Amino acid sequence: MKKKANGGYFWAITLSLLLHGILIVGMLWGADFESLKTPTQPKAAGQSIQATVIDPALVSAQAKKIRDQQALAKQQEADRLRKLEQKAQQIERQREQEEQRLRDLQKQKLLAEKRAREAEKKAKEAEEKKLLLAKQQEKAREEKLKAEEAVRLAQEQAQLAKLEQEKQLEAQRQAQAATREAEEKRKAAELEAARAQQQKAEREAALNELFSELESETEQLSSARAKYVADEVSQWSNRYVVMIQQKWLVDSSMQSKGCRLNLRLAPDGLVLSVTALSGDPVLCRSAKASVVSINKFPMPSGSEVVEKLRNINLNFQL
Amino acid sequence: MVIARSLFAAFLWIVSTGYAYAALELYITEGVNSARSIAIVPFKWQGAGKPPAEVAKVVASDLQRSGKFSPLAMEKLPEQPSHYDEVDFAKWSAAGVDALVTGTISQAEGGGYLIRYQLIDMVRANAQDRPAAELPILLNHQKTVTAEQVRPYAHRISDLIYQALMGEKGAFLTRIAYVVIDDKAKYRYQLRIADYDGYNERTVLNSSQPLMSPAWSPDGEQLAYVSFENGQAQVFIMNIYTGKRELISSFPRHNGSPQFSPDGSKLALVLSKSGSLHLYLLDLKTKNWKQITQGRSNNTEPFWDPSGNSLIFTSDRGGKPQIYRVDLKGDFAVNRLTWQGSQNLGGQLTPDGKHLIMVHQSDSGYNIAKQDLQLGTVEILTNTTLDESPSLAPNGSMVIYSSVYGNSNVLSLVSIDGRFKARLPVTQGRVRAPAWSPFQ
Repeated sequence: MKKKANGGYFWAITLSLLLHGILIVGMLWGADFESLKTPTQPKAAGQSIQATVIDPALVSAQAKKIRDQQALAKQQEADRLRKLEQKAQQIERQREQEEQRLRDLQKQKLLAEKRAREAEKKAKEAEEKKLLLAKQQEKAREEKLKAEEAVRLAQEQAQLAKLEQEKQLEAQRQAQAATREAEEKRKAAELEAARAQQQKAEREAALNELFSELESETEQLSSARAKYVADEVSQWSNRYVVMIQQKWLVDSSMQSKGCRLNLRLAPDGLVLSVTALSGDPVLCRSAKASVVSINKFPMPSGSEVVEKLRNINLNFQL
Repeated sequence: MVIARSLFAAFLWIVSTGYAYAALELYITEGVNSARSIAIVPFKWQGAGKPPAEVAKVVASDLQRSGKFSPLAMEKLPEQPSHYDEVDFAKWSAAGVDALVTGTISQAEGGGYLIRYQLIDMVRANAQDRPAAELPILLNHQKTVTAEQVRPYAHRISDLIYQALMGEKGAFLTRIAYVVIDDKAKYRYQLRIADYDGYNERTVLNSSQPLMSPAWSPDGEQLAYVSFENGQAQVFIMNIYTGKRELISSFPRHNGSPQFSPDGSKLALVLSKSGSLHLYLLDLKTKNWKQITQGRSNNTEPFWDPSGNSLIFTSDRGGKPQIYRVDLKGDFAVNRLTWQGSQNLGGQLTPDGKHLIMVHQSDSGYNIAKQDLQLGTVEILTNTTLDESPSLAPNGSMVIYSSVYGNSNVLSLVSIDGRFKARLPVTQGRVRAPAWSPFQ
């Protein structure tokens, strides 16, 4: 705006200077006209009074006319300048208005774009939120299903456990009944000495059968059975120890020495092998001799007990 | 609860099934204290006339004297094989013998006798798991010997059998030295040497004056002994092969009970130059003397500990004779070893240093007894009368001693476990102070 204003003065000043210039040149030319005649004057030195007489009023009128002309021109020029300035200002204003309008337009466009973007963003966020929500809902639903499944399973297990416990109790009762029965049978067998051997075999067979039937059902029963087998093994192995001790020839030189033998028996009790695992050679020899001299060990009828008696480590120690 | 029960069941199952595969552990802590049965089949004679000695009989007697073996009586032998190939094992299974000895003796070409023998392990022979290729033969030897060597070679066979079955050196090829007092002889006192079983006796010294206390040098070539030939007790050392003698000790009053140290460098003996009997050590090289016991009591019958670091001896310092030990390495400290019985004397130590053999006076009189030095328990081994002068076999398996039988002193033998007792067949006269030789 300032520049425009400067521009406006520039034109006015330029015009004014021009007009002033012309005026000065005009005045100088008039004076010069007089001066141009001057050099010739000496030549006309004898004609002294040849002077033209000029009317002062005319001159004044003429001056006044020139001054009026000049003022008018000045006025016209000023008017023109003013008009020009006004026009320039108007143009400037129009330009500014146009620019403003353009700027406003731009602004509005940007704003619109921004709004559009924001709207888009919001829309996107909304979409995402929606998706998340959907996922969460899905998850929640699954968890709920799982929980329900777990509850159902727990209930089933509880039910199974209850059944199992009942089964066990039942089995325990059965085992106790079986044990009682066995005990009664044993007592009866002891009383009837004549039939003892046969009854014992029958009882063992019956027990074995009973136990093998019940074996897979409960651990309680298998523990009772294991105990029975262990008792039998213990009884029979004690017999072996006594038999070997009656055959083992010892000597004072064996004092505080030892020998470990591995004894393998056939199912009928026949000695299959006697191997020294460690110990004093002389003591091992006498220990081996004691076992070899027995040659055949007695065996019970129960197969499981027999199996356990077939592999024995004998620890000889004086 | 259910889980716990299931776990318990699983545990039981594992235990019970594992049990089926693991071997049963049994403990045998007692046995029958008895000799082992062995069969020594008479060696088959292949030649004219009779063999110089019955090898099988000598071997059987040797093994029996050790107390470890009980040879089967001849009439109980189910068969008489002379070689492993001839053995019918089925016939022997009922005999219950641990081992079987078979052999032959024949006249060798160019003189002498060829002896072959085998020791058969019947424990192994009867084992069901023995591979057929594995012969159960523990010994299989042969040797040609002169007629005189047949009997010593039989002892050699006994030594090898004993070693094979007992795991320690046999002491059958050894000798004994002893004093015979024969009132009818020109020289009443005789120092004699014989095989340990009394055979092959020979006299190495005759004297009209008493001879006492023979003792073997560790190399078995020399005997130290006490002789009264010069009117007083003196100690001599004699080489039994050359007969060369050396006077060792001739102090005033008593000079007695010589005993070579295990390394043979010193002689322990008893002197009474100060009044009472005391132990002294004589360095055989430097001839330096050293007094071991002090005081007013009597100290006698020294015997070396197998280590050579101490001596045991009999002393009356506690009133009646008891056995003590004196330390030779430190300050000669004395410890009493025997506490049971009214008297204990004539002590000897087994080669392992664990047992003390001695004459033990109890209610049943004077007997040879064995004391466990660790436990202090005393076991009377003999039932003879007035036993004296026990001497141990070099492997500690037997004791030879002098006892009264009838009106005379005889040599008797007892196995260290007391199982076997016998008198040795000896000539006329009273036999005393036996000394068992070292290993040959």
